[in-house]
Formats: sequence, C-alpha cells, structure tokens
Amino acid sequence: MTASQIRGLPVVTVGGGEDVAEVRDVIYSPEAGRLVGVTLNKRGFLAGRHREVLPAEAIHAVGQGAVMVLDESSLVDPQEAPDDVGRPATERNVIGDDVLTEGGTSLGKVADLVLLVGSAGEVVGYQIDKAGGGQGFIPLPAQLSVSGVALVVPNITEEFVQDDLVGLGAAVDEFRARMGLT
Amino acid sequence: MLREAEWTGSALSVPSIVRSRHPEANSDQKRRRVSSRRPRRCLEVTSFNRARGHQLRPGETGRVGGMSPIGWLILVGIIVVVAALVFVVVRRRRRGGGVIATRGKR
Amino acid sequence: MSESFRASSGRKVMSRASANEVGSVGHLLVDTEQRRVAAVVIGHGKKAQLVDWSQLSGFGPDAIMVVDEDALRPPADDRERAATEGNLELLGKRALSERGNELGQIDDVTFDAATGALEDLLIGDRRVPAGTLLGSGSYAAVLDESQEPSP
Repeated sequence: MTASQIRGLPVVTVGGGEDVAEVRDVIYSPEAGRLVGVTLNKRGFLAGRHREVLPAEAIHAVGQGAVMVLDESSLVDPQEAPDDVGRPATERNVIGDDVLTEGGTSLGKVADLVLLVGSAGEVVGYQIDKAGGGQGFIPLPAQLSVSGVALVVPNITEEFVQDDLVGLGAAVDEFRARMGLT
Repeated sequence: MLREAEWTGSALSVPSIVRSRHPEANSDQKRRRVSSRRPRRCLEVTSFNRARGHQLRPGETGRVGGMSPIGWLILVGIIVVVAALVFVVVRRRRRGGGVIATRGKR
Repeated sequence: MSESFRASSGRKVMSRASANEVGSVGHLLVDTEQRRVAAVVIGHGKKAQLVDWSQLSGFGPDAIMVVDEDALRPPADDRERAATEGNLELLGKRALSERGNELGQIDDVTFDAATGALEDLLIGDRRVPAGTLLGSGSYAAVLDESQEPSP
C-alpha cells in the first residue's frame, strides 16, 4: 500500500477497539528503506493536532482499514520518540519532489511512497508522475540523496521505471542486484 | 359618578349601570361619542407593535421596531462566513506535512 | 440453547419475584476477555439500567427473567455508561482484523442462553467463532489473524 493511503487511517487499539487517533504524517528513512513513525491528529471532524506520536516499533500492524496498536500506551510523548518522529522535518516532504538522475534527466515527480503490505513498514519504492505523462514506479534504494525539493537517483533507475506495482515487486530484486546490494 | 368607559377598539361600551342610574348619563354619552371621533391611540399589542403611543390613522397598518429582512440576511451571511472560516482553519491545521524523509547524513 | 443478539433485542424483562415487567432488552454488554454476556442493558440512554448475568434466573425465548427488581442498577463506570448509550453494541459494529484490515459489519452474535458464553459472530455471509474476538469498543471489534480477508 502507499503512504498516502496510510495518512488519515484511524489508529485502533486491539484490546479496546477504540480509535484513539488518526495518522497525520508518515515519516520514513530513505537509507534504511523503512517506516520510522507517524505523527497524529485527533479523531473528529474539527479536532486538531494530537500532541503524541507513534514510533514504528509501537505499531502492531498496518492494514487498509486501520493502523493497529496494542493499547493507548503505544502513543508516546514527542520527547520519548526518535527525533525524526518527535520533531519531523516537515520541509523534507518528498511528495512533489523532482526525480532527477545523477546525469541530470528528470524522470518525473514523486507522487507517493510504496510500502510492502504486511511487512514491518518496509519501503519498496516511489510512485511517480512520469515526465512524459502517466504513472510509474521506481524501486528503492533509488535515491542518492533526497530533500524537500528533489530526489537524486542513479542513472540506471531510468531503465527500471515500472508501469504497475506488480512489476515493481519483480524490479526491486533485480535493481538491487544491479546496484550491488543484495 | 361615571366609571371609566372601556376601549374595545372601534366600539365604545359604557357600563350599562351608568345609563340607568344617572340622569346626566345621556349628555355624558354624547360627549364621549364626539371624542371617539378623534384619532385613536394604538394600544393593540402584536408581535412587532408596542404600546408606544404611536398615532395611527384609522385603516393604517405599520410596525414599530424589529429587524428588516435585509438585516436578517446580513446576519445569516455573517454566521455562514464565520463558520466557513473556522472550518477552513481547522482543516488546514490537520493537513500536516505529508510523507517526510528523515534527516540523514545524505 | 442458542440465542442471538438480534432476536433477543427488545424482548421483555420480567421480575421472577413480583411477576412484573421491568423493561425490555436495549443492549447486551459483552465481557470481551471472557467472551460472554456480562450484563443486560434494560432500556436506552440516561434512564437505562443494567442487570448482571448472575442476577438472571433465565434468558428465555419469551422473556428474560430477573431474580427480583432490586437487581436492576444504574451504570457503575464509564464503560457501562457507554454501553447504555449504545456505543458498545456489537450489532452493526465494524469488524477489523488484528492486522488492520476491514472484515465487514457484525450482523448478529449468537450465545449460549444458559451460560451467556458467546458462540459465533455473523459477518456478512461468514460465521466466525467468537473465540477470535480480541477486543471491542466504540469504534470496532477486533478479530484475530485467522480472520484475514482472502486476497
């Protein structure tokens, strides 16, 4: 599933069946290729921001209907969470980033982040709006560097732009082999 | 001694006891009939009228006080605008930063 | 004998001691850890009262028999108050798997009329053993991993 599908999901306790919060921002590590945590909003139509955050270790599971936690104590004070989750670098939002090869070609713009279903928040790649039009997917580790403005990727990434998620799954292994990482 | 006559709108009713006991009643009645032709003070209480002593001529209708339809429209308009502003402000606060990369070495 | 939440909703509640009707079934409050009916909520909202399962002489097809009228009591804590307001009602509750996936809506719950122990949950056209119930509250009932929707 994608990161934008996770944003807005309710955070539900397994034992209590209560929606204690909902997902605001998704924070991931491009180097580790993993979800690191999420920030929260309160539940309710006009409710505001939730002070507490949810580090990835405290997440029991992520499904298409909800993010599951064991109980309310899984939500922690920002000071008790890793810095990137407690004080997220909101200027490093990758949505809309230009995808640039190290050679200087733009492959398109980042539309979303793709995570592996049922894994412990493993990131498999990016969904992009291709420069020529249409949607594409590029595998992770795809970036040499990332900011709130651009994603710089190795030149060979251009060969690995997939049309759908099915293709992405297969491309990830080959891409990693080509990059010398297994 | 005559008791106060009661105003009942257009009709003037003089207590009947006056007519029978007091011989001067007739002349008094005449005087009152004359005075009933003078413009009446509007003492009817309706939802917008108050007994302010505003003088109406017979057949004239009118309102004293209350808000005009334009006034109501403006008030409703203000409430709608304020509600929309609150809605927009709160929804923006919830929007968040998006999908955020950690601050790596790179 | 097997009973169902849907069938017993609204059934009259009688006092065994006085033979008077004391109300009708509004909701059934479930102990999710023990997976049994913990109490009967009589009526709805602010004036609703609870009767613990242990105070019933029988949960019958025609009436629920309470030992006597003194067994009726007001809600004792937040959870019971939420129950009287209908927030904890299992009928119509969203069912989520432990993995966070939507399973559907609980259409009915069956239980043993003699002991109050839950038997099955009916979700859509599926019959799910109540043993899979991990917890439930105002938002959802959470079922264990064995209930993952097929891909």
